[in-house]
Amino acid sequence: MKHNTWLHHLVMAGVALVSASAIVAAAETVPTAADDLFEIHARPLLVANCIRCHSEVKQEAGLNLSTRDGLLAGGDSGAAVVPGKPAESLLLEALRYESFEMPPTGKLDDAAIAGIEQWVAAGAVWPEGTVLAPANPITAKDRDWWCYQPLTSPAVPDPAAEAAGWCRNEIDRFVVAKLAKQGIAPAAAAPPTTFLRRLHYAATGLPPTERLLVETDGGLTLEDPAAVERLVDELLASPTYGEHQARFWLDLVRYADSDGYRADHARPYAKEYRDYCIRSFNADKPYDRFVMEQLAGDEIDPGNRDAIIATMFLRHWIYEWNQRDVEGQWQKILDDLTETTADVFLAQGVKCARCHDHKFDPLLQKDYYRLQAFFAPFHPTEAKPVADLATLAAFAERQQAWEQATADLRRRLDAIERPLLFQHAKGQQPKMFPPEIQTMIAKRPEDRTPYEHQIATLAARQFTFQPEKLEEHLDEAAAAERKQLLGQLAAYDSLKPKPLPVQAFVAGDVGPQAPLTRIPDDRTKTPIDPGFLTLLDADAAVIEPPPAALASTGRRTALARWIASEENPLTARVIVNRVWQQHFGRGLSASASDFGHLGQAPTHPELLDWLASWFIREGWSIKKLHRLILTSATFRQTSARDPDEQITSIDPENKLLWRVKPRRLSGEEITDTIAATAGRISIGKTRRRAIYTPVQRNRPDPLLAAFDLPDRIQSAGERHRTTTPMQALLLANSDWAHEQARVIARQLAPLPDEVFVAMLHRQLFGRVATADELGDAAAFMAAYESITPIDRSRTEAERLQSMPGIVDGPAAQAVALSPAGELAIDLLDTSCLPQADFTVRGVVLLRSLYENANVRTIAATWSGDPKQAGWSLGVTSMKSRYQPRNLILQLVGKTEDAEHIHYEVVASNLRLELDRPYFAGVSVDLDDLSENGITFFLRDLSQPEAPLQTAQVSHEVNRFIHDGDPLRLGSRPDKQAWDGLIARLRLDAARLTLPEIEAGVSREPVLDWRFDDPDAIAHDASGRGHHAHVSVGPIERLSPREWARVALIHALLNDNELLYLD
Amino acid sequence: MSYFSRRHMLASAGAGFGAVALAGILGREAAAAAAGSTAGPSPLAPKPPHVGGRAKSVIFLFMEGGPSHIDLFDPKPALDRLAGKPVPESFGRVITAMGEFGSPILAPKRSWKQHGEGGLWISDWLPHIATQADELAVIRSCWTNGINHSGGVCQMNTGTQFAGRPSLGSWVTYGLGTENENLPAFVVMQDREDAVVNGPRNWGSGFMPAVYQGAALEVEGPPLPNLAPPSHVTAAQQRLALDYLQRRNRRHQDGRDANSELDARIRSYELAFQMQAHAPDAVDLSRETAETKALYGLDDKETAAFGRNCLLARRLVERGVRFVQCYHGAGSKWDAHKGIEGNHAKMCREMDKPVAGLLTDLKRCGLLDDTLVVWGGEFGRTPMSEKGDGRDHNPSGFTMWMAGGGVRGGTVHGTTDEIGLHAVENRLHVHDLHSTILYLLGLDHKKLVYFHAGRPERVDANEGHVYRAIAS
Repeated sequence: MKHNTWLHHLVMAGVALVSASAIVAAAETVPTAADDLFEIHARPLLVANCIRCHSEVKQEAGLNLSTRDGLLAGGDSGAAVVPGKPAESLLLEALRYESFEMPPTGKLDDAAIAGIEQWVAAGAVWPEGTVLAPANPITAKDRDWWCYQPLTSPAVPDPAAEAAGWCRNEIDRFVVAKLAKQGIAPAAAAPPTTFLRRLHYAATGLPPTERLLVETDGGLTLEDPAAVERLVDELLASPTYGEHQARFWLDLVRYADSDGYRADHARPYAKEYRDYCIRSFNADKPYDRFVMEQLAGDEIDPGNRDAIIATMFLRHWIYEWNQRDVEGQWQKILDDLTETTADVFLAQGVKCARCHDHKFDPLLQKDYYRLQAFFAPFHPTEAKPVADLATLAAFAERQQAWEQATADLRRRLDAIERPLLFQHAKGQQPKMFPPEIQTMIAKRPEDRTPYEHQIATLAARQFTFQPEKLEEHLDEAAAAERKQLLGQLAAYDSLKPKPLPVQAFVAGDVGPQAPLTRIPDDRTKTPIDPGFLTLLDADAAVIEPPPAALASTGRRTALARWIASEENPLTARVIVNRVWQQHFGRGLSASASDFGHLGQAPTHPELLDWLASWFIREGWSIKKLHRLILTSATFRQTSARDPDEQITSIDPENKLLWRVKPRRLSGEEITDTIAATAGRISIGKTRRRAIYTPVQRNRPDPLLAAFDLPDRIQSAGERHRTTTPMQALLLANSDWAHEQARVIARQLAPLPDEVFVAMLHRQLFGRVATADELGDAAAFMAAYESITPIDRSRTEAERLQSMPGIVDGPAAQAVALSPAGELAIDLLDTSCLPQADFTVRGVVLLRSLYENANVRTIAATWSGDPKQAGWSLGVTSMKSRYQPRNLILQLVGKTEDAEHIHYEVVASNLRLELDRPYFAGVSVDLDDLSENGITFFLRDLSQPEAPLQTAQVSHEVNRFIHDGDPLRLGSRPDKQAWDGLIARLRLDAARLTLPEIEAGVSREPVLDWRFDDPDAIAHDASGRGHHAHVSVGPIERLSPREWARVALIHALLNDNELLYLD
Repeated sequence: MSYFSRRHMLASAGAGFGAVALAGILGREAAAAAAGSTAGPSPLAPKPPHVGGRAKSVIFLFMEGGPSHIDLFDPKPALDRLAGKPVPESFGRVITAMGEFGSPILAPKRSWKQHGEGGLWISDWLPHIATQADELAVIRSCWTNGINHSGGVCQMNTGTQFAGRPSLGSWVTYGLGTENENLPAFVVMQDREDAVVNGPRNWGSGFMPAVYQGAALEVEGPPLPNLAPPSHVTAAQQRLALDYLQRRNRRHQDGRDANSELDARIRSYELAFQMQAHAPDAVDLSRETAETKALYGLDDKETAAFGRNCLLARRLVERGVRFVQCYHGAGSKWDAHKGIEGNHAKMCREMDKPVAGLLTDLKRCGLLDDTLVVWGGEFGRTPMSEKGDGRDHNPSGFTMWMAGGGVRGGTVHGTTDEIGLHAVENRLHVHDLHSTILYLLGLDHKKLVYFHAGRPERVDANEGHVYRAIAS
């Protein structure tokens, strides 16, 4: 609100006159009725509502209402009170919500305002020298709030006999006791198929596997509680558990693989944190340890790379690479760390307290900065040594010795170099920064204060010094001096310690000294020491300085210890509640990241406390907590319970858990389910699940985003669950959904119609199809087929031809493949591909080589990524180190003694001539690492009676040679592709002997593809039904019947039964 | 929670085309079943405003990159005097994106005239908009915090420089719902293919559910992603498949009455297919006359792209779309760090006629009274030069204008200092602009609250004031 200046002056003049006389009056009579008015009306109202923001310490809008002078002088808008003149007093206007609206929390009641009016009218008397001070901002009522109470271990209720029979563990006793109080009985158990599906998703985020469906007889065996316990143990031990569990955690810690802001640069190292989380959950790392590592892994376990990677928790903030307001961005980062830490571990929404004491919760503005002070020395680093204390100390000692010995040299060198480096930096120019930032950048690191170093290094991310170009900018004398200095410096190189192994994109402290923390608008500029929530512990935190070799303050360790303490009333409650929310769709407290007054108090406080205490006693084990919940009778309840009138009136929202709420699958679960059905995911096949999709903040995955993936900018304790037409358009119309349907159709192609429909129901819904459903599906497919035209188009590439030049034996029909062609021939069902011994052979003719070192591939089960398992049989090209035209096997998998994937080339040195037909292949005994392990064979079919050439070669990879990639004939067009003809391809899951190969027999055949029927290219003649999936360009050619099957699958992928769990 | 109201379904289905489309796509049986089902109100159902408010919809013309206020709407004769000299320290130092505070002042080369009965000063770069001067309420005293494009664009959209909050369009959609659920409630268009700074985050719903986020409308091909099935699926095939799906879904729903989401999802498919029918019609310009197209400059290569978006904006608000945002210069094309003469001359030509055409067309269609048109960028430009003949970003003082929707036209509000560096009188922060836009729509920025992570969140982060003087 703006006031004219002349009016302001007039008012001020009036105030001065009146106040002088008022003071005189006050001095003469003690006490007066006017004094009473102050005590009755003014003091309590001002103290309770005004002086938190308008006092000596903090003067919002320049207004101080804690003293008489402040009241009369007023703030930016003029005097707050004109004694004797209520109508001219801004304070009253504001209280009445006429101009300002004060206090902002809501208009006070009329009686209170009338009291102030009376006081002002009577001269606004103010006892001399009185300075109003805030009352203790934390009241007894605040201290009573549930989440701040010490954890208790309530006795487990002892329900009546009938109910006791229903209970399977302690959870149930708490739940049934509460239900019984309302006269509600627990629900019947969910049907076995429903329960199996629910349980499987709850533990792994994936549908039950075929093996499990068989083993549990579709869930029927789970009637036995012991079977449930065994299954839960099995699922929690599966690596898919960690992949599922990490998803919830990544939402909480705002994880992303890009910076955000405009450029949204990639963060190539962030995924190490994602994988760390998956590993930690799978290893059931105790939660207290998990917390400690993320907040202070560098301080508590500096030699442990995982503990270092964990500190990436402190790095997931959004970052603007060209922000010239460096200090502003730094403050924003510290705010992010403060707020995220409080959200994630403590469920305290401290953000309000950044600018003022929290209006609803007992969180002081000071608390916000006490928490922030733990992060004040925070220093993001791209090269954190990974070394234990002793190693660090030894390193520091040598480093120091070198630094001392060379201090003078380096100072002289720096004087020559730094100004020029500064002037000719690459990237953003240092001179674009505000002058004070330029000053910090220009200083040598050792001359900077810790804060200056933080800011200078943050700024320095925007440019790079280019010492290699210095010579261009130096004059002759300086260049000579520099050269001399460098020479002298090199003489000390022997003093330098050997570099330590490092880790990028992690956190540490700027040094043993922390910069001061202050409340931004605090005029007194009082430094704030690190401390916890005042309500829980009003003292400053005790910080134990860590060993000097760490060069760290120990502040984050102190914070981590406090959070991960058994005494902390919040930490265990918060995580237990999150896990509960995950399984029941609602936490025991429904606001999982806000335990404050605006959140929701727990429905079962005793159960929450019991669980939290139990969780701590059981060693903070998250797996045990899942196990307890998943094996409970409460979780076993059916979701299909219609509430009777009593339930509807007492508990329509199911807070008491009289059933299990159905839930929609998450975006990740939808993607994974469809991919799993398409054979792209199964246990042990790595990195295909949605969790591994990089999260680009400005371009999130469309399907995940449509299904409520959080923006990953702030911590998200719960996802929205929306139902939108955009989701429907995506699943119904996207190429992706249709493509997945085609892939699934191809895999189920050998099955007769009825079995096909039955199998779909089993795979997608984990149950047997009803007769009605079978009939309806058949009718749908028939109708669809009848309106689908036959596609008679043929492309040049698909024309089959006979293999020329064969003198011995019958002429074979071949398919022509070329690198430019669009023809792709794959076996998509990868489950039949051998994981051990195999023999692959074919009849081939090669027309050309690559100019470079690429390989002409005959057949492969390998993506081409040397970090992904698979094999590829092919022929080398012009620049190959194995010389051209060499028949080779690329073998990628694990070796005897290492867990990582090893890539090797096994070369036969058998060579093919161009334009000549050959019988070629390889037989592999995976276990035999001697020269007998791999046998290549090659016969020139254009020569009568040509011998079978053979070569025996040793290898190293002896396990895990397949990672779910389809088998491809001639590889993909444009990548390591065959150019020429292939007449037949056979694959056996056995090491065939040379006599067997000579005789042309098969053992454990996987497939035998033939190319003599243009309507059935790569038809499998082995009898196994492993026909190839043939596509030309993006869309394959299918018959109307096949299209009808695709349409059926596609409809089922949109089915509510797939998207929802009962 | 159920998201699509029966009342609204019936209302839109009963309107004629909706019912036909629904029956056509779903088959009669399915349409009848949809009409008979019950569930709670849709989050997008139209909601009454808090108080009065003339505007029903908003068209936000976003000049991305930062147009120079001192070359367009805020003449500064002092710049001629000070040309070539550094900014006197008395004006106060500011951080600029490119560190140009110390660079010499660059005088605008424009000629200025007063226009309309209100006598608004508008430079010769905007001859067409000048003819609409009496519709414009020009605010010369805007200010913001973001000194970079990312922060600035984010702030003009969401109130803060930092990602994570809902955009203004989301707040408006949250507050008022939509008049037409067959189209997205909040639509975004851009004049060229380059990505708008920050991408779709600008029209994201932040911490609110995705139902309130903006939908980017494509001008080529299908207007929305996945609006049509792949080309090998015919309409008849799709209808057959959808009938089958809905039949299964209804059977699945039996005995699951307690899960109201199932019903909502069944209807989301129905709505999706109504959208499939309606959206192409909404963007079909073939029904517009040649005269109308010319009014927007569709007959001229230079103005055609933005003209088309402005015309589409009219068609959308006509159909009840609540919030339309049209980016001009997508990818910071107004960002004249050097050669502002060439840059701004071109950008103004592209935008001037289409914007004037939009105001004219809205007026003659009777839509201007209840459509609020907002024009501006993420910030203005400095009086200091950059690279000799350009200007750096200026967040501390710049111009925006509003028209229609209950705004008093032909008026000027607020001032910047003598050189156009800082807003001085009647300073309006982005929070104030947002609060004022809500006010013009009849929404009270203090009452429009969304609870998130324990905080009652508002569009203005609790800091905005309504500038009522702009209303008529």
